[in-house]
Amino acid sequence: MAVCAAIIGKDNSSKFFVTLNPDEELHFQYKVLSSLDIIEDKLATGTKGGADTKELYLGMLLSLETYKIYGYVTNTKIKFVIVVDSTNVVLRDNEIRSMFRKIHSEFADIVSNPFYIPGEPIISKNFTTSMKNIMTGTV
Amino acid sequence: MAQCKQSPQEFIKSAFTPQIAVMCTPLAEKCCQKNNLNFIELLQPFCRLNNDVTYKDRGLTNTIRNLKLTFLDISWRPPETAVARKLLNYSVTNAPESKPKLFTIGNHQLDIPTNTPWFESWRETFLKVQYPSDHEFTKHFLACIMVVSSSDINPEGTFEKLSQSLNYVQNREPGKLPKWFNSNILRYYVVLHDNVDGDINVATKIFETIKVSYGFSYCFLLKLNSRSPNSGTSEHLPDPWSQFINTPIDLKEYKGSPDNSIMKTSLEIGQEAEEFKTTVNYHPLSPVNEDVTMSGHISDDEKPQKAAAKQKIHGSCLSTDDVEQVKLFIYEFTKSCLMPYIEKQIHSLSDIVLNKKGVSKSLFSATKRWFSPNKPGASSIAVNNLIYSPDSPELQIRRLGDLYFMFGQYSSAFKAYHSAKREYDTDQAWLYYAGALEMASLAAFMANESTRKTCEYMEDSIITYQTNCKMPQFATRATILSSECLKHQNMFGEAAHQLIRMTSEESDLRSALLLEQASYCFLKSKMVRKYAFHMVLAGHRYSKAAQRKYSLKCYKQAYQVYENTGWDLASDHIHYTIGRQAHNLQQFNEAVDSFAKLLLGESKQTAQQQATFLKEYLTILGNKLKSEGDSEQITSPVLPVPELEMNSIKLLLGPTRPLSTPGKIPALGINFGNAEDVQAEQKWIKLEEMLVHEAEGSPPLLFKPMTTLYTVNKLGKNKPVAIVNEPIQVSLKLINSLQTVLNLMNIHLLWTFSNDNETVSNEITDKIDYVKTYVTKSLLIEGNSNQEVILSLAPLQVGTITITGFCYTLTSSNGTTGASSIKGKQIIVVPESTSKNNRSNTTKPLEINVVPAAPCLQVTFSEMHTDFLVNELQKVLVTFQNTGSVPLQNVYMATSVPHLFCNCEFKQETNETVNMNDLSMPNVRDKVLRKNHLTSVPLNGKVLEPGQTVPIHIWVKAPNSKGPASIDLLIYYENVVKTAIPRYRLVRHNWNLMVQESIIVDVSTQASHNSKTVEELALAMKITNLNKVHNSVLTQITLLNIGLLSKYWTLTKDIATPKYINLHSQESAHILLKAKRLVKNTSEYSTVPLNADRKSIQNMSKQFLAFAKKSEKPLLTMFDDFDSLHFKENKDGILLLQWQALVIEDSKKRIVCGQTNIPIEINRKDENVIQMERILSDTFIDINDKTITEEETAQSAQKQISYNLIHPPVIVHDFREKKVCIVPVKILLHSIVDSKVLMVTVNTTDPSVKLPTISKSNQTCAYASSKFCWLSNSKIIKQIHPLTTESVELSAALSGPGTFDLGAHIQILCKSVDSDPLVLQSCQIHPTLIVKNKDS
Repeated sequence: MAVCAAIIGKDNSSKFFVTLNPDEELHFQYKVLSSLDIIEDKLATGTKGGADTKELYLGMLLSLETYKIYGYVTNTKIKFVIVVDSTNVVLRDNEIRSMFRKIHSEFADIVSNPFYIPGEPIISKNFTTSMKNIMTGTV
Repeated sequence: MAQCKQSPQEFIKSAFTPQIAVMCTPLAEKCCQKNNLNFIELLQPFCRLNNDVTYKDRGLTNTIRNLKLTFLDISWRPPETAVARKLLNYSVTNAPESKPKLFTIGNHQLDIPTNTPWFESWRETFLKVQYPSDHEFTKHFLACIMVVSSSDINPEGTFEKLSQSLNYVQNREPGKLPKWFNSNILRYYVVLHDNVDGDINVATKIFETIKVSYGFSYCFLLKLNSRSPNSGTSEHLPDPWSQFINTPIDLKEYKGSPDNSIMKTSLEIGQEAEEFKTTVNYHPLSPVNEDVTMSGHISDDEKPQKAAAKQKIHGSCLSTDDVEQVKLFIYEFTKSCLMPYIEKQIHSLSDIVLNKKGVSKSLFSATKRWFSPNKPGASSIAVNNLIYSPDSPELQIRRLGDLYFMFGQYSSAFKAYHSAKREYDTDQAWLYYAGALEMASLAAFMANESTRKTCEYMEDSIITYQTNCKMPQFATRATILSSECLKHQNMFGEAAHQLIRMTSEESDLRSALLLEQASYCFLKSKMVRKYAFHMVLAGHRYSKAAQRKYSLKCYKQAYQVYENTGWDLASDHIHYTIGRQAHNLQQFNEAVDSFAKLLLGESKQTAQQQATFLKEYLTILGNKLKSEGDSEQITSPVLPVPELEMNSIKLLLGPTRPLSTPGKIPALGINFGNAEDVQAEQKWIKLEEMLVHEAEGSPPLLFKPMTTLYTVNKLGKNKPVAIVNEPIQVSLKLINSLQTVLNLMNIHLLWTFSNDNETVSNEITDKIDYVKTYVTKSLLIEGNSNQEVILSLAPLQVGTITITGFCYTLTSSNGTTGASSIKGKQIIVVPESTSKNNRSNTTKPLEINVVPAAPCLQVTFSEMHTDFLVNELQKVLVTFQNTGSVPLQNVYMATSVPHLFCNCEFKQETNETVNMNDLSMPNVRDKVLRKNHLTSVPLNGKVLEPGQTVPIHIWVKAPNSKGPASIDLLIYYENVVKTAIPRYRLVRHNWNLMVQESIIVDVSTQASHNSKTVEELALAMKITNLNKVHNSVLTQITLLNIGLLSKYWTLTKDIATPKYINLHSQESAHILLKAKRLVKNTSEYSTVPLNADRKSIQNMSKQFLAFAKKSEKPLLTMFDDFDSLHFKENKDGILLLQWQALVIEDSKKRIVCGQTNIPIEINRKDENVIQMERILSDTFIDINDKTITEEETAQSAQKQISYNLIHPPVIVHDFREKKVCIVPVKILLHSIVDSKVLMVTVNTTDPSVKLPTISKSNQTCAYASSKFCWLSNSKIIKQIHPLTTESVELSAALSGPGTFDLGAHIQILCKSVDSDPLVLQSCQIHPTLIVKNKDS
């Protein structure tokens, strides 16, 4: 079960942010923001390799005392970040990977919505619930 | 963006300049003081040579362009740590401002200063305050200039003395300052001559002798001061000194012990500013505990100094020639003295180095290399333990390198440094090693031979300085230099990395400056986010270093990136810090704006945090107001919280509701809640239109409803009109999106009143002559909630009121500690709606016209229980009182539910019958409509004077369905003066009833077949009390009276009833009644009392009847279509059941009366079922439409006559006496059509009827026999008028005893007009006649 998920745009501005506990949002913002550095690093090194078979999943970005942060970058440089409680041993790499894939497809749906202006923060009840479902693993 | 003025090469060059010491006699110094300068200062502007100088190195001539020399007094010491800190701080604080320029980086538009003079000035100061160290020679004096004034008594002796003291200084113990390049430094002798005061001959003489003793090229005669200070300012030279002479903070104060032994130790101390270091482990993103530097003191000791510096004019005694002399002196010194000396030095040092190389290679280094680890840093224990003696060969090579470097031979320098570095490495002399590496890297850069390797040298050097030598000041210096090189090579990432590495807890100022530079590096490599982040860090460090100006600037720059990115925490932090810094810098507007942003919108901060923000905001705002002083006190600030929702502004104009008195309810009037209900509003408008029509007598040309409740939309379109002395109420919706409670106090509206003479606003004055302002004392808005607040005004004079906003005192309710409160306001404007598009963004102020006093009708009602039973009647006393100061007239009442409202108490119903067909005409219809809906209220006299009262009674009836119901009443009255504005006024009232079940009555009617004279009707009623046992209200219903209101029927009195019929819950009573045909022109009312006690009935009959009449007639209401009216028509009449109920509710008892109306319909058909089926089929089969209508007309044609036979039921006849029994039978024919005269034919000679054959068998027949025949004429034709009865006498002849069906042989045919065919009537009756034989 992830505790926080974020979608960060091309310009590194937060497009969507959801936490299981809404009171902790600011707390997580700080963590996610700091993990962007690592994403950038990973991207910088990653681009040197073959661009064709690019792996979107970035793996674990940060492992803090209480949380683990995972990252994922789409081809259009949209970043997905998931924060997981470090005590959680059920979620392994594969689960995180599939979580990201689900988020990606949800995000693709949102972007396909003609009423969504790309680059704007995502405000959608539907999306939030489906993200929460992905986070809690009920999907 | 953020460029340095100097190129890196220039910067490095100027960082390593040859240092020349100066010794001056007091008299020489005095000579210079005439110009407000000392000797060093005098030279300073001309230190950079304009001409090229050359020297030879191994046969090659090297040319140095723009060589810069640094002259320092021999007694000059780098300032002590504390002073150095002050100096550094000062240099940053006083650095010139830089103009920001807009750059576009990625998607961001960023305002970035074009250069950072504060950094450059700090850098320069930093290099200046460096202590010279033993491991390098760039800061060591190469030469010494001795200056003696020509007016000295014994110049030669003085020179001697100076030389001696120089020798003394040089030969002191080595650790002390000043440091010398080597023991044999260059000495230069200068005779200073004052052209005005001194004698030129003496000077020349002295010069000659000195030339002889010291050599020609080592002496100079400097002639100065050829201008007397008072010689006028005509020849005013530009002051080249001013930019070099900064007036640093009182250095002298600190110069207590220049020669103390602290010097050496202070070398190791970081020589920078460390101030206000109270919270070290401080988290940059926690805004709460930043109280450390908030005390808001700004160093004010700078100002007087600046002023003093301005007054001084430098070089007032120097003519152009004198300046030329100075320049010449420096040039001569360099060219003819310094350069040859350098040449010599380089030569000798190269020799030493060459010689040494062989030795070192063969012996020392080889062995050492075997025994020592190769890597620097591996043995960190051996820190600084190796100190070479000043003349050791290892240092000679470094000396050579430094010389090469200072005099522009960079590649040679690199070689020297490189070999020196290797040597120090093997010796593990880390400080020397780091220095050599640093210089090697710089030399490579200067020689344009920079490679990856040399960059690594620098990296290595910094790390060694930092970790092995623990000498951060050298590391910092190396970083400053190296970052410039890296930037020049576009290696911004590396530069930033190095800069960031040098930030430490040691010095906030240094960290701040370096972070700022690093962030610019990030920006250059298009890493905007990193730029912003480090900018924030820099800002944070600046604030810790008390450099608020820069801190604010950094945060602002960072905010440009963080703005609208959705990182709330970051932007909150930035806002908060900007707010505080701006506040400290007295930039209150910015501070307030920034804090306001924290309070706007949905913040995700905790409630406690928000409360802190709010409190801080209020404090800052308070300070702002204080600083702005009394002059601008008038206009209170616009506060950001709570939010005002502009779209929900509502305005209500109208009289105040009177105080409630027991037993009386004032009319509800209009309140703010009414705005939402559009449907109800429509209803009121329709009623109003009718009223206006009625009052005017003609329909208004353009009806515009009178509005007293304005929503935002209406406000945009119309200008409201208020009446003097009547309150103007404004409803505002305040939204508190914070999570903390907002405490508003003393809320009132702000207005501007203007009439022809003057304009007054209550923002400025407290005058109450024009408008009375009501103040709401206090309002608490909980976190995350809305609150409606109603504020009111009362205009006292005619004019125009503009409501500009509302004013309140906002208090931060943060516990008990020091609640700060600020009086602020918010602006109220309404969106102006143009005709085309309502969504236009223009707004306009809320203006209200105030007109003279108008009449004001106060309507009160007697209190009444709002829990009604279905069909209950209640009497209400309505009191009209004119509470205004102007008489009024023409009071009307209107209701949209006329059937529930009765004015019978004061008005007799005039019996105007309106032809149904006329209703199709609109004007007739309108008239009827108005008659139904409206009632005029009789006034004593035509006019209701102020203070007069008129009471009337009305009756209200509950509707006949359960549930909530409302009865509305609109009261209209007008000003006696026809032209007054407003022309008329309205009062609204509404009763909201809760209706509960009472009784239900089922009636079934049947034509009676045994009427003797006229047609009769049997009415079977079932009356049930619907009250349920478990209901909270218990009703016990007594039936009082049954009435029939009909044109055609009247109740017959032959009914036997018990004394009273009392129905408890769920009980029912069955009553059978009979009505007979009695045709009248108008409906008649016939009653049958069901109760022995008749008194009460009598009293009420009038209103019962009135309501009954309302329901009898098809009542035209404004909500009906014309077409639907026909369906409501009722032919047969209405059965009225009057009752009295005892209602017991919570042990309270009351007695109420009611009347249930049941329309009756006579059911003549037996084939109900068939009809039902047809109705059902009707709905589906449309194709058969025509046939059905035909069928229907045929049906109705068959139902025009009903008849019954009157005959004795049993006849005893002696058939032996007489064979045939003749029975007289009377046929009663009833016409049941009310319009046509019918021709009825009674046919008794049915051809199908055979003559009866008398046989015995018929006696045993199971069925009634039809074996009889009619006598007399077989066809009787009668004319029957509508709804009348005719009788026909017939005789039946029976041949034997038995039971006979007398209806068997009768056919009733009828037609309306002659031409029509006769139609057989469907009414078939089977009256039985029993004939008995006498014997049996």
